Amino acid sequence: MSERVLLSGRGLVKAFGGLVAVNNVSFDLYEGEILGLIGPNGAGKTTLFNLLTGFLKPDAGKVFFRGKDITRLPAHARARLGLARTFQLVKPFLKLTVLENVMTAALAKTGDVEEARERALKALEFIGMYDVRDRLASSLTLVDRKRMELARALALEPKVLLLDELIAGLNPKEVDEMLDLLREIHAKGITLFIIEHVMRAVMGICQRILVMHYGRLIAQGTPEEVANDPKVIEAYLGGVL
Amino acid sequence: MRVASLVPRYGLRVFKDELRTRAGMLVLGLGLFLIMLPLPIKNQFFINALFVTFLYAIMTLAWAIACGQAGMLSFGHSAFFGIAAYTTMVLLHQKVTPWLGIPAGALLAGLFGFALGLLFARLRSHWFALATLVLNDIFRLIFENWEEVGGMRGLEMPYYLVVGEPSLYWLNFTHPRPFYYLALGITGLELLMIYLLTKSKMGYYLKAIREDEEAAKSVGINITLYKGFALGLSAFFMGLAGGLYTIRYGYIDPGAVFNMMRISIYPAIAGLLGGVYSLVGPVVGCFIFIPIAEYTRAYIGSWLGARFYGIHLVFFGIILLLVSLKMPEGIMGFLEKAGYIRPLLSTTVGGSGGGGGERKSPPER
Repeated sequence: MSERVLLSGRGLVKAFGGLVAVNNVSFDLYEGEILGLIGPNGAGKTTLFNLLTGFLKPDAGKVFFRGKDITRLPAHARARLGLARTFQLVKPFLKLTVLENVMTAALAKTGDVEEARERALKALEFIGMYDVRDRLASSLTLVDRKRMELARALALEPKVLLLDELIAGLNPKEVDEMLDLLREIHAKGITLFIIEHVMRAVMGICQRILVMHYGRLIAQGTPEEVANDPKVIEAYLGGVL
Repeated sequence: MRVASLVPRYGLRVFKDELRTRAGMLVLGLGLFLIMLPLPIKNQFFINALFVTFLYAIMTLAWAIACGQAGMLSFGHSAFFGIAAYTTMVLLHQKVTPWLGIPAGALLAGLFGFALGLLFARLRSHWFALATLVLNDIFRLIFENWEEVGGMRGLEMPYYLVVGEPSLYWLNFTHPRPFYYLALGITGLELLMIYLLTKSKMGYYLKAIREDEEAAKSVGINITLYKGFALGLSAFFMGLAGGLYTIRYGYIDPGAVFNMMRISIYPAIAGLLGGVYSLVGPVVGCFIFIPIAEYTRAYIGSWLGARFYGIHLVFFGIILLLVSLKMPEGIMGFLEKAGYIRPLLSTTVGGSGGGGGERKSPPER
């Protein structure tokens, strides 16, 4: 793992009315690692992702990507820089085919429609959806929608992929397949930053984990360190234990 | 083939593919038929009715660029129509030929549409619709009070043209047939442009924005900019219709060209009826809706007496209700989904010879 910082947040704050969803969060994401982000429901994980990808503007703090301040950059520009994401609630382009869905992303890398088609087909082949390329996205099952969204994000040829609960809602077999896929993506040199509730998945795949609770970053470290951290146990199981 | 080399690569390829198919032949045959159509007709009324239908086809196709491609449901397209109509007329008074005046008006409308698209980019679905609805009245009021362009009285074609000889240079004809061909030509050009648009990067981007703005942002699409492009293009073609209206009737006033019902809403109804996701849907919609609209407006009201003036609007309401309940994607969308027509000319699905291969399973939903 190289020690180069790819993406970092410094003192990020985001409040919705009286609720501080993200409260003074600072972290570094290193190039080539798989970083996990966990925390109880409502901890502010998705909000943090939205701040990093430009879907929300922070009230305070800064976001850096490869050393450059991108805090004021709009979401589409960040996507073009190499900061791709998937959504917790999948957002397929329902009336387009699988291929067209992925092509919209490939078009960010080339203005030529034919070339974008080739690149999209490659991404679909990689993800194992080549055979269903001409089906409408609306006819896909949840797991296929998630995989398509992954292919769409990959077609952006990102440096880092932010995955928001990609595995949630899948059955055990699908979880294993998805984890294998993530390892393959990681092997291609793409840095992963994942929000996940399925502990088996997080602990199995992540090299480092951040834990959020009530908007604050309460712990970070290797899976073992985090799992044994009293603050983390308290956050998940309540203060009684 | 020098001309062919000017067509973008994808456009040319798709064209060849499509001309070989039956649908391509159908389009060609239909085009020839429409060119021959007015020749044997003696009654000028019918030719004029055809002209009006195609005028509406231009408007409806333009409207559908915004609604069908980019998902921008507008009820204020009369603004673009009127801006171009006035520009054409004012230029006519400055002795500028409508051959320049009409494109100039359309260009101005297009620029205004682009700016408006940027401005309204944050407004989604019904909020955008409400914002555009106000445009009708804003522009009507501005032009009613703008004395330099005739105010309430409107503007008439220069007198020397009214009494002058028929002229191709001034597009001044007494017979409706030349106007029919102009409308037909612009409709054809517009269909071609929309067809190429759907095969281009911008076409894909607009569809992505229509389907999901958040996801569109996540794949690197500047949705503000592309909404500007969409509304600009839509406004440009709406402007062409406005200019054509001006030279056909030789008289415009704010109440006519900024008319909410007949300029902004008619294309919307015709478009939704025919199907905004289908390339030819808006034209089909016009051929069904415009005759019904004109007939009910002229006759139903008079049968029932003046007390029931406006009763035709009830019919429009019923049509819209039935369409949205029974076939939300319009007649063409319905026929394509049901498999009666291969969605070859659909702007939704890439089944249109783009090289994606045959569909594995029937589309759902």
